[in-house]
Amino acid sequence: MFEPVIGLEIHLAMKTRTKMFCACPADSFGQDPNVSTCPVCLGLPGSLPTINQEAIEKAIMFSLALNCQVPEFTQFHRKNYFYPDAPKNYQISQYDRPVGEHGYVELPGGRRIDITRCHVEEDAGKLVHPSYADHSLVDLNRAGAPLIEMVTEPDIRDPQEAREFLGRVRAIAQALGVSDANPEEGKMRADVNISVRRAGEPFGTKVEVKNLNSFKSVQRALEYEIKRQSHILEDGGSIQQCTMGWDEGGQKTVLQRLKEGEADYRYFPEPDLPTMRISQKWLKRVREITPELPDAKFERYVALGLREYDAGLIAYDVALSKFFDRSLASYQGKSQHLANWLNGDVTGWLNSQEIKLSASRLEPEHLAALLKLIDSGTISGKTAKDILPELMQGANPDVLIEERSLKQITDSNAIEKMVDGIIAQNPVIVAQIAANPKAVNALLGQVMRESKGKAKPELVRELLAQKLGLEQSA
Amino acid sequence: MSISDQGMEHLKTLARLKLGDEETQALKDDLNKILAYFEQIRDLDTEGVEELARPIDSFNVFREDILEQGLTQQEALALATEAEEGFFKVPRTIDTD
Repeated sequence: MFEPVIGLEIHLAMKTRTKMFCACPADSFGQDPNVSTCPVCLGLPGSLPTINQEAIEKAIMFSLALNCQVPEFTQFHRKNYFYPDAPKNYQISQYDRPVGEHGYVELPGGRRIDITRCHVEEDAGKLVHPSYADHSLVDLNRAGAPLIEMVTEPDIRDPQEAREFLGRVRAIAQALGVSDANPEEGKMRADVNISVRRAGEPFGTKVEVKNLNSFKSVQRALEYEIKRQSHILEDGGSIQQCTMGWDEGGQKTVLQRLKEGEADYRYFPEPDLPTMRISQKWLKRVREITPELPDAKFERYVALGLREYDAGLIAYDVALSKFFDRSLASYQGKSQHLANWLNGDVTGWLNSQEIKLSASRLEPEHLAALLKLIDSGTISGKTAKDILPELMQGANPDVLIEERSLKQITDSNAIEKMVDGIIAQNPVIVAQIAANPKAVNALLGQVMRESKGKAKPELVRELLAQKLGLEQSA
Repeated sequence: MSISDQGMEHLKTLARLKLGDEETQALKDDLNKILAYFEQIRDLDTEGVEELARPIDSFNVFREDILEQGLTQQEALALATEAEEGFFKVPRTIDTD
């Protein structure tokens, strides 16, 4: 039996206005090709890079959030390679002095994954390969866009854990506003290093699978490689160190190239850029402007009285936690009640429509208003559930219940009239009640129907019991 | 120290160059001259001399994160050998289909 040894390399597109080394837009997702370029990111002769301070600051913030040490001195290197997506024939990256080193991320079960390093670099352009053509097409909008690359130690035990880890990293990046970290737009991309070994043996030869653009692909590619490598070793073969790609259609890994050695990149200090010194004062300032991290949110929600399960669902989903916090600000009731609605009915509706919270028009204040109406007994829980879909489309619950007179009938005189009427109409059921007290439920149902569901059920039950001389059962 | 034929092949692969025998030999001679020069540098005593990657001792020279107008698509592609539908057109880089 073989055990996998997994390390991840994650690229996050930083959320800045401009590129890493020039003033072109950093994000050109969905734009026409080659509309966000300048002499710097096209690598034209005579152009010189300049460092985007915001990007450095975001990388420092992210490194600190991953518990990395941020050194006093950091610098850029050139990584040389020849490929049409790199117009300068090198990528400006970091080598011996990354922004962050020796960090860790803690997973839900308490397992710790060590982070080797976090560094800043520029993205490459995008290559398009039209089918049945003898050429490729290059779009350099993305060339020079700011990236954080983070590398883990080979600490990850299985594909599921890799996926959990990615989830944590995404939550941190989003909470900090460092990156949108959405794989669908290529803002979070992962390469995996995977080898297998018999328990207790030294590490085996590793294979790198590149450019996995969803959490699911990471998991699938790892599962596939574990099987493939185990079979080769079982048959007495050996693993060749190489770089593979993931074939989404065929759900398998395919050989791309045999591994280039690090020396082949001929790293050397970038002579066009000065070094950077990160003072204690700068670090202090970054810490001060760092937003609340998901772990801290989780602790805060548990302290508010949320069940750990609900606190976890909300704290590690940035959109959900923002929504929850805003909703809670205008709701004075029990926070667990709010969490129940958010994680239950609201999430249920979103799933049924296959949309995200951000795509719905539900206002945090409207959800709070709905809960207040339930708490005060103004509407029943059932009415609340009935009108939720309209809230999801932007309706204000206070206006809705006013317009449709959905208010619960809490006037005991009005309910008493209905109760009297139903008792008079049902002598048979009333006669049965002495022998079978549960028969009263039939009458309760009829009163509710007559009130179109608006009579407060507790009041109806109380009045029925009173009139029929029954003991009130809870 | 001089470069081997095998080393030349490796360099050609990395640089993605297809060279004939004569060209390869000419390049090999040039590279060996450069290597010989580095041999001379290596003979210098650098004991106790700190690494100096950049001649100017400035640091933290930053740009603010403010957008500036760049090139239009037409301007960007003006220098391209070949272009197609707004893209730079290059020899095919992967063997698929």
